[in-house]
Amino acid sequence: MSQLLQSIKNGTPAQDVEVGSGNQTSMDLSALPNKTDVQSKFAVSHPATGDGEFQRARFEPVGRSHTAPKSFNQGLLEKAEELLDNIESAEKDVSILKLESVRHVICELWNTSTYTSLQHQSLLALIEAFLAHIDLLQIEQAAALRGAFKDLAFPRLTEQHLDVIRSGLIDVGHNPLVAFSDISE
Amino acid sequence: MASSPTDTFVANVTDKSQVHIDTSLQIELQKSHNNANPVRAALSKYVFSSTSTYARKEFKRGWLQDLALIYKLCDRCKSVPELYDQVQSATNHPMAQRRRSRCLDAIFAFLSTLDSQKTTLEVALTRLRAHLGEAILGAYVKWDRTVTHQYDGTGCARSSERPSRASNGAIDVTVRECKQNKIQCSVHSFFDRNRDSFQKISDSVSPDSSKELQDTKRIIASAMQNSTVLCDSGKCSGMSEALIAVDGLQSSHFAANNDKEWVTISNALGKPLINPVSAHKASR
Repeated sequence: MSQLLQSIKNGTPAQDVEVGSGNQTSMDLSALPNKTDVQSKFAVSHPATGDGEFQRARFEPVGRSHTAPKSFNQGLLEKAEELLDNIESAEKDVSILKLESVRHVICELWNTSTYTSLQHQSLLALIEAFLAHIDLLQIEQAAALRGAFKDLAFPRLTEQHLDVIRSGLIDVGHNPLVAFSDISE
Repeated sequence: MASSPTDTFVANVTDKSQVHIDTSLQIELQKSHNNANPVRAALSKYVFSSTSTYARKEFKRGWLQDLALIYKLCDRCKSVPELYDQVQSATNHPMAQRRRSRCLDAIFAFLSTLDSQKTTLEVALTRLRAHLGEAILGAYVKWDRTVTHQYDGTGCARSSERPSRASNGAIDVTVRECKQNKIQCSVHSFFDRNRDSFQKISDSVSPDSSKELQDTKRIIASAMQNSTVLCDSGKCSGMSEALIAVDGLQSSHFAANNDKEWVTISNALGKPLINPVSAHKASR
């Protein structure tokens, strides 16, 4: 992964990438194009007409509900809820440790997310993004987070449901765009 | 005499002061604490903060559409390296080089936060897509909460079209075109009501001013003859700063991070301009 990041950031050619712990541990990225090379290449050779990538996608109305054919690992969800229980009243050091544990649980939850619905993945991302920039939880933040984790265990989530949770977390300080804000002007 | 934003930053801020915020600063407010906190601190001195709904459209066009492109491309890929290729080919037009940089920076910024020991490239892609979706769908909500009020003088139909997700997972952040022969907003009547202010802005543009201000002057001259020309999206976008500024005329101060245009516009309209970003940089 680190080599891939280097490749994206600096345009240096990536070789083998080692990530994870299963069969997908390495991937040959030697063919990955060099950012600078591609830029200079297309700057002189690509026709002004583009390749149609910006064509508008067909838009369909939002569905009412979505089922999760396979839910997240229930044991992990229970572990997270247990960690968050009364976290706001714990000692500072304990609270920080618990939060770190919750982050690890979220990381593990992603590995069981393959067959979960888009809405479940969105909610997990929302929780993860919210926690990414928090050191200590305030009372209202902890309550919102506990609610979000409870909802994560629901077999069905709707977009409207997500809207409510998103709005609640933004109310207590969540900033949705932070993770993508380190960009060129 | 033109005063610098840094000079005006500390001047005349009272409890009753109001500040009108441009797109550029609203974007700063959405960034990480390091970027956003100096802006928040500066704006917290004002009892009332506002922006224009028109600025929201610019925000959608300037940032959310880039993220939406990555989100869309994620659908076609199985892992991050494949996405990297897709972004490269989707932005291979010479005119899209800045967009390519912004997209790659956004991907890099996100991937840097992942634990490479625990994340496969496939799961990283799932996470990236989910986070992108959340960022886009939450952006308008956050935007709305960063100010006390949003003026809607232009009645911009496009700014009120919030990002939304369809049942197939696609997120729509399109900023549709507007045409003069099918008027959907009130920018023309807004212009007519504020002709004096737009004339002042036009008069303050000198040959040395930026290209954007030259465009603004040209479009204002055209709208003075027939204000409905502004109902064409190509025209109104060309004078977006002027529209946003005049929409916030009731405020006592302007705030922006785009001195090239805003110093001239603020002076023309007699409003002190603050730029917390440059003030913060200067203080370091």
